[in-house]
Amino acid sequence: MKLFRWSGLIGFVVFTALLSVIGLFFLDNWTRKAVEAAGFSVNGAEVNVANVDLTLSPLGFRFEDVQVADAEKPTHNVVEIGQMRLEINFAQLFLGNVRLQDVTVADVKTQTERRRPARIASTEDASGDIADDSPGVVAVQAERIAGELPAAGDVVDQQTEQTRTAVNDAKETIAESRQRVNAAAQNVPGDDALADYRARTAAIRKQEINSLDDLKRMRTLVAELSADVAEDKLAVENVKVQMNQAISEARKAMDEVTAAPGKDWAQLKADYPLNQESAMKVARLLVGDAAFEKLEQATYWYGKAKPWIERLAPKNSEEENRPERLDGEFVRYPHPDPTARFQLDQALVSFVADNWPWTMTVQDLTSHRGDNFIPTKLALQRGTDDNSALEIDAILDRIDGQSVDTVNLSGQGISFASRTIGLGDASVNWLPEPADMTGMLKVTDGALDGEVVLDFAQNSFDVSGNGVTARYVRQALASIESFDMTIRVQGTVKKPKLSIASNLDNQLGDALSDVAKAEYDAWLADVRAQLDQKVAELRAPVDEAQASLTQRRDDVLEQIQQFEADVVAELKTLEDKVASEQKRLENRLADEKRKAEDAARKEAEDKLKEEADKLKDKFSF
Amino acid sequence: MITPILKLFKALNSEVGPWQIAFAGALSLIIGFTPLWSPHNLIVLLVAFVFRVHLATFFVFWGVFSALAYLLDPWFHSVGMSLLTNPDLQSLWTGLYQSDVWQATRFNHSITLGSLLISVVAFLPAAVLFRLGIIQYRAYMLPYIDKLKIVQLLKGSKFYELYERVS
Repeated sequence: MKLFRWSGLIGFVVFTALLSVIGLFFLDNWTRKAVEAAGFSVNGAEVNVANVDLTLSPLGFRFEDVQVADAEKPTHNVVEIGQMRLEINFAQLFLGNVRLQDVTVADVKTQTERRRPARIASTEDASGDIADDSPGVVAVQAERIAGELPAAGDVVDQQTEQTRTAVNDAKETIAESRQRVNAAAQNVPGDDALADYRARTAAIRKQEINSLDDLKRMRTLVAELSADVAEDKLAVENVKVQMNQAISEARKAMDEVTAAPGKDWAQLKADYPLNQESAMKVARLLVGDAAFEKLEQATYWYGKAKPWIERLAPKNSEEENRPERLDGEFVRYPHPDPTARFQLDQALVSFVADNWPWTMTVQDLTSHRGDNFIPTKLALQRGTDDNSALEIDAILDRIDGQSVDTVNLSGQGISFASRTIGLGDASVNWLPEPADMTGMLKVTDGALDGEVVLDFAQNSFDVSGNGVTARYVRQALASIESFDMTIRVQGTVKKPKLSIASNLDNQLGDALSDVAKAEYDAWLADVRAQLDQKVAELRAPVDEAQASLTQRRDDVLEQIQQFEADVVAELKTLEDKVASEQKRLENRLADEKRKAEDAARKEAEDKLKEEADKLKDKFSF
Repeated sequence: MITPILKLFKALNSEVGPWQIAFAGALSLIIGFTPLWSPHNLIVLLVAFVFRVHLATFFVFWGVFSALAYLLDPWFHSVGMSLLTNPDLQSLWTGLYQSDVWQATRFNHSITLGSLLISVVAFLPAAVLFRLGIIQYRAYMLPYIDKLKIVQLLKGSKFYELYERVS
């Protein structure tokens, strides 16, 4: 029996060869589709590849016309790559890992328009990954320092809210008070009541008192009149209390109206201070948009790239990924070069921008996050090695489970355009020589910290103008040749906060601060004058209402006084008359009583004497 | 699927060499027990095609052992894990892990290692057992089966005609 089955060997070889040929024939297309699908998943928007070719030396692929669509702007590509060569470790592909040993990218363009809008993936968490690109401060930068402060009239319209509120409150309070005074005034005896009182007093006064019955009758009438007057007096007292309360509340409301402009003024000064922000605006004007736009662009691209890198990482750490039973488990061992699911050993991207050649190199970009993590190294160079204008070196590391990215910047001969700045009545033309730049930024889990220093070695300033400001600024700038500016970067990648410090401040300090303060004070004075005028306008109707209320109170008081003068005084007279009549009657009765007693006594004495005489006659017998 | 099974029975009942059938069964043990998409299975397939093993037997028992592997996977996993985590073997595994080729063999996968080791160890005993089984079957079982009335009945059926037609 023969041991070998040659037909089987031939069949196996033929089958394998056929499979390989078919694979090679379709591999390009499969790769293109796989890259487009994976790119769509990672980018969140369509990724198109025009052509893919398998290359045997080096073993890998060549991509042509790769378009990465902008997820936020589907009509444009974030990046368009003319040509890209990839050297791939195919052994790692059998393990399901994508290891790119070398990537060379050329002919890179950004923000190109697409022929048709791109498909966009679900944007459920897109907002969290995309840097905030809303119009920055640069876009709304004012042209002049004075322009940074709004027109006084606009400020007065916006910043009199508390006064307006107080005036409206006062109007309501005064109206309510007026209603209360009016309601209370109805309880004050009017002309009819006074006439009635007068008639009753006159009637009482006319009555003659000749006897106790007359007095009693009169006293009854006076008591009735007194009761009615007392009731009205009680009502009048109540009216007085009501009026006092109403007036008091109105006065309080007016006090608020008086105090509100002060509060508005304090708020206005707090909202428009002469502070660090104002200095920032001045610095932006001085340096121009270019530097700040570059920084904003850098953070934009960093924000764009970072999610790609983050998404490369496995959902869970590979070491912690416990598969289900029956799936088995991969045991990892120490390796000086731990190949991850995705790993890019090195890449070179070259392109032309700003009429300068740019090169970017990437080393060790990996999805591996466990032990033996190798930091990713990025280098961006503007210019060539012998004529480098800008170098940015970044290390994307992981320390204690945190993403720690360190970026070092170094640039020479960075040109800034000549700027003309209006400072009050002065116009400053700044002609800087190219500046040098150094800086270091550290990004820890998205939190920014670092600073960029611009060194302006040589400057010339030309100040025009005839005013005080021009004189101050000219004097200050005459001695300044060089200065540096430190741009402090904090906040997060999505919302960076930039702050400015410069030794120019020290040099220009007093002069500029005097100018700025003079501008500010002039503006404040203008605002104050307009605010006062506005407050006066707002107060006028309230003051009028308050005066009207006071007049109404005075009218009611006069009515009360008249009531008290006429009725109460008359009642008092009547009561006095009753008392005097009573006294007169009592005196008359006392006289009559005394006379009657005297007559009775005399009659008794006479009778007694007569009886005595009779007895004497009897004894004379 | 019926054809390979019929071929298997025909081989058992014919003069096909017992070793041919036995090695086919032993090879199917390896490819059936271990995860299919492992590089070593390419070698097993190559061996099965190149050497004159009985291919129908190979394919039939491949299915049988694949089904059996589902039940044995926990055992393979524990064997594989005990080897991969054995402190005495760490230097060996670490050394192998440094090579991309060895990583491509998925040796560090618990079920792959456990099932491959067990099936390789069981390869020769399985082959011997298969051969013994075939010899015993042909010597004692086949004459007895041929005499069974049910078999006589089957031999007169169309099913047997189909069996006879299978080359």
